Amino acid sequence: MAERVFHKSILRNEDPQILAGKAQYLDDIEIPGMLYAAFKRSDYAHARLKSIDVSEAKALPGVIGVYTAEDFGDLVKPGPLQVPPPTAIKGATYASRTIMPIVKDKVRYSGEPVAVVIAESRYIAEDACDFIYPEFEPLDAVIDLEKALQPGAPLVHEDLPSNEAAHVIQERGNYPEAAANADIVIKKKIYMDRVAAVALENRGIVVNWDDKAQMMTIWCGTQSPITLRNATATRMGLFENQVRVITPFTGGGFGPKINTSMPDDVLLTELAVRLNRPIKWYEDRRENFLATTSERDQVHYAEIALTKEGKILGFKDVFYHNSGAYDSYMMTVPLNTQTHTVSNYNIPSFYTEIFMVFTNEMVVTPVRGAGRPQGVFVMERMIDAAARELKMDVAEIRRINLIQPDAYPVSTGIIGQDFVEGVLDSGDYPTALAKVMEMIDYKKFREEIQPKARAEGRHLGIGICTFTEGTGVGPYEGAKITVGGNGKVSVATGVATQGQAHYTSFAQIAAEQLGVEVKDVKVITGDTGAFAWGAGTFASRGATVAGTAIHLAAVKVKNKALKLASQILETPESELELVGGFVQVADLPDKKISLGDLASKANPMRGTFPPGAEPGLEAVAYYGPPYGATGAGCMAMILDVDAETMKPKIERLVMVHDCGIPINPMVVEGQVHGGVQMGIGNAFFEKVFYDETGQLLTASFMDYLFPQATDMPPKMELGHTEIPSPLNPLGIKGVGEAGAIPTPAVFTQALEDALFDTGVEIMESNLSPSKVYTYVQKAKGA
Amino acid sequence: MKLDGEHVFNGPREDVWEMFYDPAVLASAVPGMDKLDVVAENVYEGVMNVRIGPVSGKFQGKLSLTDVVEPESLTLMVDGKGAPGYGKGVGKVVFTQNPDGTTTIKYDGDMNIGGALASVGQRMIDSVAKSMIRSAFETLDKALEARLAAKKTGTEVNFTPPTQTEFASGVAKDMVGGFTKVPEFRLILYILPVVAILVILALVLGK
Amino acid sequence: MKPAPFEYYAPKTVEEALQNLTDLGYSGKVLAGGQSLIPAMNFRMARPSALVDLNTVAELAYIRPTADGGIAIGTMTRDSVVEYDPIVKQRMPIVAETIGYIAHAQIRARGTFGGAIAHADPAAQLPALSLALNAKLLVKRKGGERWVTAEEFIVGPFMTVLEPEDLLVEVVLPPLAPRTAGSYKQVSRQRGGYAQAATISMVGLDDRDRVKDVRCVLFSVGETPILSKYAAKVLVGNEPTEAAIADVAAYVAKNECDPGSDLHGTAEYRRQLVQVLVRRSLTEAVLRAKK
Repeated sequence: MAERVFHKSILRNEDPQILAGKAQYLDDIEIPGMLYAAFKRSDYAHARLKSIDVSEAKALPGVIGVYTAEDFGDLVKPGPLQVPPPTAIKGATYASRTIMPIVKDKVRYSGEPVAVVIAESRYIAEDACDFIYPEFEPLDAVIDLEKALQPGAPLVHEDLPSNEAAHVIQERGNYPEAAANADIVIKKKIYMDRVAAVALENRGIVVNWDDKAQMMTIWCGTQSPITLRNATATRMGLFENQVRVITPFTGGGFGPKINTSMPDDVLLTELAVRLNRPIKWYEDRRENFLATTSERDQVHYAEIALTKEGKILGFKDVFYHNSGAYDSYMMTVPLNTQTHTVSNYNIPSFYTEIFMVFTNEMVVTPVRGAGRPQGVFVMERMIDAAARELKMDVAEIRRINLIQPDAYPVSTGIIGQDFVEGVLDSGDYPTALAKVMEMIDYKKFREEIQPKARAEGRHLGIGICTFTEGTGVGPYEGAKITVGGNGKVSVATGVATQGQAHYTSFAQIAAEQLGVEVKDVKVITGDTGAFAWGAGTFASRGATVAGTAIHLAAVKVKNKALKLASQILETPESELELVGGFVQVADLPDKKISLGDLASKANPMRGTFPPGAEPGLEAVAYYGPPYGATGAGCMAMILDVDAETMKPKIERLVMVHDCGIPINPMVVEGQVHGGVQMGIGNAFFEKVFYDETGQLLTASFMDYLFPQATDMPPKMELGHTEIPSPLNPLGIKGVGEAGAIPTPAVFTQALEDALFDTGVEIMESNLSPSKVYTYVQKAKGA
Repeated sequence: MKLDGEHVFNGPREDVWEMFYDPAVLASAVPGMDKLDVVAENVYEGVMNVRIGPVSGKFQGKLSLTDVVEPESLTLMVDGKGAPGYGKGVGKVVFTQNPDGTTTIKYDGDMNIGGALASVGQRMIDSVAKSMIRSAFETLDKALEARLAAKKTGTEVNFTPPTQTEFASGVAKDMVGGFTKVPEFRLILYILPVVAILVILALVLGK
Repeated sequence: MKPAPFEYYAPKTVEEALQNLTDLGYSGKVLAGGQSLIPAMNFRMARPSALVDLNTVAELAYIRPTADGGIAIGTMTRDSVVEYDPIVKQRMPIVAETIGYIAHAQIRARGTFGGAIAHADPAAQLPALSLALNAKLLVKRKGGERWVTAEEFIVGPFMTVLEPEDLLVEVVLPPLAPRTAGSYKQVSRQRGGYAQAATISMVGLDDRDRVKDVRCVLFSVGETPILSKYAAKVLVGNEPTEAAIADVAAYVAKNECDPGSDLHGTAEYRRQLVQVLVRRSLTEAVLRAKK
């Protein structure tokens, strides 16, 4: 049967509400008697807290209380790990040092909270912070990753022998032998620096404790409502069902909102109960830069060994990953990097080694891409270095090394963030490359357009890179689907939504099975009162994992409906179909019963009930993949660089992406657009600057730059290949991070190509026109 | 941030040094500075109300002079703390008597700015710092002039701390040609306290 | 990001505003468009004890052509109103061109022509424009007023000659001589972002296409906007040849600006920009003046 609503670009269910200003966001929540919180944060990145005087702050009118570590007693201890440690990897060593809710004796990052103020308004709470006087003894800060591991470096965690947070080696084949047999071996130092997620809406939380009902309700734009609920309940000695976490409409997540047991939720849940009043906290943009997690800085020493025809024999990568002051998120990010250096080319031998390092900077947890952009950047830059050395075309050297479409499933030999050995489930990388080359007229560009431009003195360059994207990892998600007496369908799942159209794409999956209109499917995400089993929204897994659970539950409901309708209509199930909200006899459309009536009939008010039956038209299903589905693609970009000012203009941007079968192609394009914008930001605008004392210098949009709508190219040309994943019945792969992953590599390659006459080679990201100018001056020997 | 440079004072080294050891001169050289108290030998504390353009803040400042080799060199440590942030600087100052009777001071220091000021004020810090250092030297030039004049005539030092007008006129140096405009009307003077501390740094260097 | 407590005054007339400012002295701060002041207050970098809000003083918003062909602009006129005014466009298109570079349309709808000049941000367009056009600024205080030239008005980064009791009420842009045209050039990291270097060049030609008058102003590369003396010295009375313009550009970049290094660019890079932008803006201004 042809797809009816699945695989269609249906307009979003949630848009009318959002656009009319009727959606409820966190700050819209007002509860009578609500109080407001503000945190006093350390200016120093590394210091001992000797004392703190809050007496003046407490006396300010409108201040309910000012609390420091000594007011919280046992609560002040390291929080739980957000992610399990890498015990599955042989030989891995690690030290877990998780986020503290408040500073007790030592500050480890600039912005770490030393006190919390509860007041009648946020204005007064901020006023009170000015009257809090902490006494610090500053210590030397640990910033540089390699220096941090040298003996004698100041220790971020003084109970550890060094600043090494973890160490992992993974290998396949025999790299030293491959290098020895290679015609050329190229060695480079490559690095990417930190970027922030910069969601439109900052982090916040509202906590309400109902003392009579002994129920806590938390509103939070979190990516993991169930984890937040469970951690809160455990910590406070409550039943899980005494805590309800609701995610309102949320203005973007991109990673940092996955974290729970952060200072805000730990301290404010405690204070809400103690004061018996609702409390709201919302960070401002400066706090978001200071004290919400960010990600990306790594230093790589990479090596690639090839034949003189350009075939890769081996790859080696020793790298340092900045974990920040704590490592609650363990090794997810650097493992993603490790996996994505070696995932789309045939690489017989590789050796990768990670040093994860503690520093006096904000904690690192995933930001869209979550380590994958770094892996792709390193591999693609190394291949470009090889192409330059071998005088090969950059597209050709990739083509001859890509994994072929008949190779799947491919075991990568590397254990990834889900602690199983990575398996590439499906794909067709050569077709994606060929398609991009066709869409951007690669041949014509190289043979006609570029030479002509160069003759005119224009600096036109092209970049082309391939990449893979690990998505849809476990452990599992679940869904409950219920047909209402109104004949409409309710879908509840544990993941949360931050703008990625779950209210539509999940509705499409259910509607496809149940024959209802997409707008008649109400999707509930992120409400533990509606569904409370699952892990959360991260790693591009919402559609793949929760979507599959929804599909399985919808199939169950469909089967129940068919069974019951078959009895009522006295017709075999094989002759029945679900159409327009009814179960009807095919070819006899007047013989039918509505889903609403069926649901009522399935829930008798009196009488008897068949043994083994379940009431209503409702089903719950869970899905956990054996390993993540891998999306992939190819991106190319043409840049026109003004060689006097070094300002580049994106002339064309082409991307072909495989996310399996797209549920809603329009939504997929939106995801790619957003990811590309972040990728361009990573490449050429964004950088979280810490100075050598750990001071954050970019805490506002004056200094933290990214491409705004007015800086983006007017058009992105997107193509798709649809290679269904064999791992789930709908053939879905994730796509949330796709746009962000290859972009820095493509951009940098195009830049080098545009400035070919300078001979410049750029092995870092987070560039700027000034940086490029410095590189060019150096290359010219100035 | 690195702060280094030099300035030539129109007077002998001993007088320059002496001038700097006078906390009254130091305090007066920095408008916005309420007072500078001597709390220990070579240690001063004071409170500064800084305003530059719309930006303002109150800072507690501490100044220490160490490695004093009179009248050749010393190291100045500066520590300023306030709600908008903190500033901490260390600088070595060397002053050399020139054969023509002038004194050259060379300063070489590091200033760390932290807190809100560092995280949202990056755009202002550089231009304001330069501006302040330049005007501070000019004020000190005047203070030295008054001191030398008084010495010559044997009278009391007749140095009025610069009014906001005159201080600002120092600040109002034209970029090109280096001539000073002295407006007929009073100018508003705002100084960044941490930079002011730097000025003091420079002052001591100038001894 | 909430401001510290402050008192608020909403005068209805200039007279009332001047009284407020006189009474408040150093405690008072004028609120114009608020696009620079309010963020500074929200960051708590600025903590004025009292705001005198000029948005309620209707008499300060106007655009009047002057008899001699110039334009008088009330300081509370919104940037966007000046940007789209037909007389401004006709008499001095450089004004509309310059305003278009100020941030984004939403900010220009609130920001004011006089507020930006009084704020004297070294990276701002309007202070530089006032210098390039040799504007005359009217400053009032209770019981008096005076005229200040653009050159005299700004004395340092965020510093002007305004005393606490002063109010900038009007900016008069003198008429442009015939065969005079301007060009605005800047390099910024984002469209609408702060310039890393920028120039406004005004060139007036005689009937033999030689330069009669040139005002080349650089900004965002020094503590105040900078009027190049060298450009006038080399070009006035001569043909604005490619070589002459290149010479001016090189000299200005080397000697007449003082860009610092910051997070977004080195001083060397910004000097390179100055050289390129002076060359491009002078060249374009000459071309436009010839038409």
